[in-house]
Formats: sequence, structure tokens, C-alpha cells
Amino acid sequence: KTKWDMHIAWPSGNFHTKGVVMFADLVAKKTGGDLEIAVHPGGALGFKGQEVLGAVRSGTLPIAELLMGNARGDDPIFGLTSVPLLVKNYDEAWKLYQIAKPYYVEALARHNAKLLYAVPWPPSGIYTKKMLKSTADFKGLKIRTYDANSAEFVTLLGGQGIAIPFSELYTALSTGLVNGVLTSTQTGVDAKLWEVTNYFHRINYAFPLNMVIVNKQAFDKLSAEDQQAILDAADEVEAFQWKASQKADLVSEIALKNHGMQIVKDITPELQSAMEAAAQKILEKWMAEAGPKAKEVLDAFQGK
Amino acid sequence: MDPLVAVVVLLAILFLLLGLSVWVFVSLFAVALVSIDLFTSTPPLRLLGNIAWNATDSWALVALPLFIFMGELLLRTRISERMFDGLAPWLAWLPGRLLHTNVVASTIFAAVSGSSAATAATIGKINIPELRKRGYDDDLILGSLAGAGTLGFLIPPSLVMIIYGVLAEVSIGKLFIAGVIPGLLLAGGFMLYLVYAGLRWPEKAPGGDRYTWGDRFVGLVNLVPVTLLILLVLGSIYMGFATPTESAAIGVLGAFLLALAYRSLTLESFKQAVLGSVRTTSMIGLIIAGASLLSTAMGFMGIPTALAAWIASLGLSKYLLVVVIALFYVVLGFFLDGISMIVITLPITLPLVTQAGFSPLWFGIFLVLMVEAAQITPPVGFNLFVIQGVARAPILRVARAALPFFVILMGLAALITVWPEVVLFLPQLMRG
Amino acid sequence: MRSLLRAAEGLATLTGWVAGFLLLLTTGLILFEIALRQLFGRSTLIAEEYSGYFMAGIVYLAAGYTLQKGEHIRVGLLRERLSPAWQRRLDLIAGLLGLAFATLLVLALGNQTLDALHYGTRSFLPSRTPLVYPYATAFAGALVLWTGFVAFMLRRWTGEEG
Ligand code: NA
Ligand code: NA
Repeated sequence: KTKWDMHIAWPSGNFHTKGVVMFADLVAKKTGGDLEIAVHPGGALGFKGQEVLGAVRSGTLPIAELLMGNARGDDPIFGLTSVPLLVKNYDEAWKLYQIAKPYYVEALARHNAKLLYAVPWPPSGIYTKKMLKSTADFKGLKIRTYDANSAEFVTLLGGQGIAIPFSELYTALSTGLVNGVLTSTQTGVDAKLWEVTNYFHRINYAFPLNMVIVNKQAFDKLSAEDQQAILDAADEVEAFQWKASQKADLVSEIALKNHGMQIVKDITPELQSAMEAAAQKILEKWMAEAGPKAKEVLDAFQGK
Repeated sequence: MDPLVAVVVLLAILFLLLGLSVWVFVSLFAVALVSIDLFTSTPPLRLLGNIAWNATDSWALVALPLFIFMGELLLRTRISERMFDGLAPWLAWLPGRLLHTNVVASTIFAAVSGSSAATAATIGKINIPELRKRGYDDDLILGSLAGAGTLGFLIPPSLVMIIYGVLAEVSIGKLFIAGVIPGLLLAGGFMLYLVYAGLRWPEKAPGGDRYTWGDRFVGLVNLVPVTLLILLVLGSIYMGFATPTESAAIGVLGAFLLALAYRSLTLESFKQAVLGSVRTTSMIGLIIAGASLLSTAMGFMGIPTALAAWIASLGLSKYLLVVVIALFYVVLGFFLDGISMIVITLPITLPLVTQAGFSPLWFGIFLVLMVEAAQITPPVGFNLFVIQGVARAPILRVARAALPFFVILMGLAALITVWPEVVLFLPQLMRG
Repeated sequence: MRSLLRAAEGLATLTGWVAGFLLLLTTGLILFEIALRQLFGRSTLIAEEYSGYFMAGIVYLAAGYTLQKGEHIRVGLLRERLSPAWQRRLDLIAGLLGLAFATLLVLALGNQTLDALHYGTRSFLPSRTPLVYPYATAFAGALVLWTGFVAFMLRRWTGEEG
């Protein structure tokens, strides 16, 4: 009988955490209780995003869930799903995932880890106090962004991408230190953004993946049956969670609406083409960083 | 291993090491490493490397050294002395006299700082030397400072409320508003106690000179520089120039400019201010890292979850449940820092409390009070560490001096349990 | 041995000064971020990240210096009641534990630094800073803390006042 302690940064109410709990239950059932996974939500074990891959690599954590982009510092390929406007919807996100999966698997293998499954966040959009109709509306707009790509994206559109920590976001929005946020519908509900902003612009900025990974030695130590049971459970949860992500998106959008948030779905053509131009620049930058592998993935995805 | 037994064993080892006068940070790390090695399958060295680094690589902590630095700079100007000269004629009639500056200054500073340790450190740096110089009783100085310092978490902005809000899915804005009345009540409770102490032991709060209105007016002039500084820091946050953490750097700049204006800063005293801040930061930072590793160790061992699950299994009535949960947090608070305490236990305690009919918003404020209490209980209490560092007084002495204020905190927790309206009144006026 | 002790002290003071410099750098960086944002509508994008590194740097680089100045907290309850001879013995026990811990810390942070070097790990934040540098800073601080505990033991062993 084995026990694995599992790190996950999100709180227990988040759909990613719910998926991980479901995975743990399923594994316990399928292995007949051979393997117990103790889930520690909310980052309770004290790890931060940046070191999670390293902790799994060294065996400090046998298993963990993390935002793929957080591992970008270990291998640029993990930055793929943080590139803006690369995929437009869940179907394309799934297609890109299938194409890129072998590359993820290979990169993880170099870090002594194994991919179990991956699930996208609902797409990010822009929350603001005033509606955005053109790039002119971006002038003077201070938007809280969460990584280099998103900061550059907002800056290219004429706004200011401001890096402030999530913990100070609420105060910053209420004092006017920033007047917009780039994040998903789900996070908007979590942080109750309707109290401090009025519009959510559904630009489908990106569908960033979260992945569940396991330390290679920890996995190899299990019996062949238990290993198969885990892989089966992972497939089952993955399929379920891709639907849960879409559902979370819709449910969150309704929650935003019910609290008086205006959902802006029709992005003006002028703004759309400006955003695509900005995204193209960011994509090229990432491709330069990630090398030939990036080109292979993108060519396959765009059907070249 | 039975989690209850494990807690007792760990506590015993910790107290033994502390009793042998092993450094607090070494004791915390040692207990954590021993538990990881004995009770988990995790490699202790790897975990030590991870946590020792990421507990200190933290934006949330940055405000702490900066506010300490601000305090060090103010200390070396005549601003703090002037502030007391200015307040003395106004507080002379009130039993407890200048001791109230600890509470009043902490309350104001709490509106700037999201952390209790930063509040205690800053106000302590300025107030302790001045109050001692004027012959006030050390126990009352240190105790009221330890107690009032905790207001940093209860009066917005508050780091603890932000973390709770995200974990419990409660509006951070409502939490902030909900903290205002309890915060003022707590400050009022502390001041009432100081009035009582001033009446009971007049010699502990000396300085009953008679002042004229002329003295009071001159006093106001003396209050100008410190008022300017407070307005600068508060203004930078509420006008949207800076986040609460960033405002600490503005405070440093303000204190530096004031010191230059008063021509009271020499290169030597500036050097001392920098090095002094760095030492206090290192002292607290290592303790924070040790406490984090201990929290992580307990997380891996599943101790807090098991204890909370045990409480759930008791099937208690509404008020008894609150009493047991309060006791549970007081015990955890002996040796965990407040934020870890919340993150680890919330998934179990929150449903328990809401099922008993309390609102998550109410529980947020209740938890903040528990976290504040944990700041002033030994052996791991960050306000105690900060104050002992600033005041150079033995830690157990500070802990004993803080006891009456701990009791007042618990009293407020009881009050909001019986009358939740104290917490819920203001947020109910908000929209949404 | 005198010169050894003096070297350890000098080292601790030096890294204490470096920590002080990091404090000034943190203040400057945050003020710069505020000015840049308010005046030019831009962000350094690194203020949060580097303030964190500096914070960790201050804690570890100043650790030995703080030990030397006797400012790391100890609970004096028992110690204060003992004769100087027993105080010395107690200090030796505490010092030994401190040294043991510092050894583990050196190993742990050393491991972490080598790991970041080997895998070329970079920050996932905009700066893409190779993490080996900030880790190495903390590691250096741990080494100085280790020499600090050695110096503490030596001094108490020879009966000198701590
Ligand atoms: Na506060
Ligand atoms: Na405590």
C-alpha cells in the first residue's frame, strides 16, 4: 500500500481541484486501495508555481498539478498554451493538445516526470470599467496581466500591462491603480470582479493548460496493474474535465451576468485585427525561444 | 501515528529545544526536519531547500523590511520624539496617558499595512524608546504594542483576509469592510484596559503634568511631520499610486526626506539604520522559513486535517463547536504561523462552521481574530519575535505582557459569536 | 585561531553589508516601478520578482552577521538562571545543533543551486532570469551562517564571552 501527497495550487472549490479529487478517488477504486493519493489543495504544502516541476523531478513531490506555463523556465515548449489567440475554441485547443502532447511527454521525461493528463482553463478575457471598442480605448488603460506574453499583448495594443501580485489586485482595482484585468471567467467569479469592474470582453485570449504529472521512480515502483489503473483513471478524468472546463466557463459567465457584469462578445473588426497582429508578434518571439520543435508543432496544427 | 500523539511529541521536542536556549529558528527547522524524516516518505533535504528558499522569496514579505527601515530612519530623526511631545498634552488627562499612542498609532498604521508583524515592527521602533525614556512600565509598553500590532490583519488592507477570501470564495471587499467595526472595537478594548491599568497602577503611566491650551497648540505643530508622513503613505494607496506593499517604499522615501529636512541624519546613522533593518529582517525571515517548513511537515503528516476531522466527528452543538474550533486554532497557533494555519485547515473547518449556521463572511473575521491571537502566543508568535527584536526584552516576558491583550482578543471573538451583527452590519449595506 | 575567528567575523560583516545594499536596491526598485507607472505608463515587469529575490538574499546573506551580533532570538528562561560555566556548556550544545542545522542548510541550498545549474532552470516570469543566481546567493549566505556557528563554537569552547 502506497501513499502519495499531491500538490495543487487552486482552492478546493476550483474545478481543477475537483477534477484532481475525482482522480484520487478513481485511483483508489481502480487499484483496490493499493494507492492512496492525499490531495493538498490551496498550495497547502508550501510550494509555489515555479518550483513544482523541480519538486516532482527530485521526488520531493511524487505527484502534482500545475499550470503548464509555470514550467516554461525549464523548457520553452511549456509556453505553447500561453501564446495568445493561437486557438479559438475548445475543439482547436484539443487538437493542439493532441499534436503537442508527444513534445510535452518528451520534455517531461527529461525532467524525470510523466504526464498523466492535462486540462485547459476557460479562456481569458479582459475585465474593464469602460467598454473597449477600438485600440484608442486602450490608451491610458492599466491592465493587470499575469505573464510576459500578456503584458506585451496589452502594451502592443496601446495599453499598459502592469505586473502586480494577485493578492493586491482587489485593492489595486478599487483604488484605480489598475483599471482592468486579463483573466478567465472562472477567476473573475473567484475574485468577485463584478464589485470592481463592469465589462468582460470575451476575446478568447488563450486556453492555458494545467497538467498532472508524476515522478518517474514513484510511478515505476508500482505494479503493472496499478500503473495501468492510474493511466485509465487519468484518461477518464481528462475526458470529463475538458467538458467540465467548458461547463465552468458557461456557469461562470452566467454568474458574472447575474451580478450585473456586461459580457462583450462582439469584438470590433478593428480591435480584432490589432489583437491578431499583436498575437503574431508574440508567437514569433516564442518560436525563436523554443526552436525547431515549435515550428513542427505549429506546422502540424495549421495543416502545413 | 495518531495525530494527537504526534502534536504532543512535536510540541514537547520544540519546547525542549527552546528551553535549552537553542535559537528559535534552529529549533523550528530541527523539529520540522525530524518529523519529515521520521513520519513521512519525503526526502527532508530536498524539502528544506525548496521551503527555505520560497518562504523568503516572497513579495508579501517585502513590506516588512521596508517598514522596519522606515521605522529605523524615523528613530534617528527627532520626528518620533516630537510626535510624543505633541501628543503628551492631549493625552495627559487620560489614565494610561501616552501608552494609548501604541494603540492609536497601530490602528492608523494598520490602514497602511496588510501585515501585523510590519505594524508591530514599525510602531515598536518608534514608540518603545520614547515611552521608556518617559518612564512608562515595560510590561504595559510591550504588551499593548504586541496586542495593538495585531490590528494590521483586522483593519483593511489585510493579507490574511485576501487569502481567506480567495480560499473561501468570499468577497474580499466585504471582508475588508467587515473588519472595520471589530477592528475599532478591539482598539477600544485595548484602550479601555490601558485606562484600567492607568487607574490601578498610576506609577506605571507617569507624566500627570498640567498643560495649557498653549501647550496643546504647540503640540499640534509637533505632530505635523508625522501626520504628513502618514498622509503620504495612506494617500499613495488610496489615491491609486501604489499597492499596500509598494507604499512601504514610499514610506521609506518620506522618512528619508524628513530626516534630511531636519538635518538629523548622518552617514553613520544612515548606515546603522540600514544594517539594523537588515538584521531584524534576517532574524524574522529565518523564523518564518522555519515555521513554513514545520507547516509543510505537518501538512505531509496530515496533522491539522486529522485534528479538524476529529472535531467534525464530535457532532457538537453550535456554540460548543465555536468554542472547540477556537481552542483548536489557539493550539495550532502556538506553533504555526497564521496564514499556513488557514490554508491547511480551512477545507474542513469552513463547512463545519457554515453547516452550524454561521456565514463564511463571519467566519473570515473570526479566523482573523484567531490568527491575531496566534501572533502573540509563544513559542511561535511573530509579533512576539518582532517586539523582542526591537525592544531587546526576553521573549517570554513579552508573551506574559501580551496575555491581557490576548484575553481581550478572545473576548471580542466571543462577542462576535454571540452578536454576529457586529461583523455583518456594514457589509450588508454594500451592493451585490 | 585568532585570525580564523577574525576572518569569519569579517566575512559575516561583509555579507551583512551586501544585504544592506540589497535593501536599498529593493527600495529603489519599487520606487522606480511606481514612478515608471505613474509618469510613463510602463511597468518594469520585474519589481515583484526581484524584490522577492532581494528579500531572500537579505535573509540569508545577513544571517551570519545577525548571529554574530547576537540578534537571532533565543529563549533565555533557563540560561539566565545558570552559572557562567553551565551557560557555556548550554551554549556549546545549542551551537552544535545550530552547526548541524547550518550544515544541512548548506547541503540543501547547494543541491538546489546545482540542480538549477544542471537543468538551466529559468524564471517563468518576464525576466527569464536563470534561477541559479538567486539560489547561489542564498547558498552563499548559508555558508557564511555555517562559518558563523563554527566561530560561535570556537569562541565558547575557548571560554570567551559570546
Ligand atoms: Na491592515
Ligand atoms: Na503563536
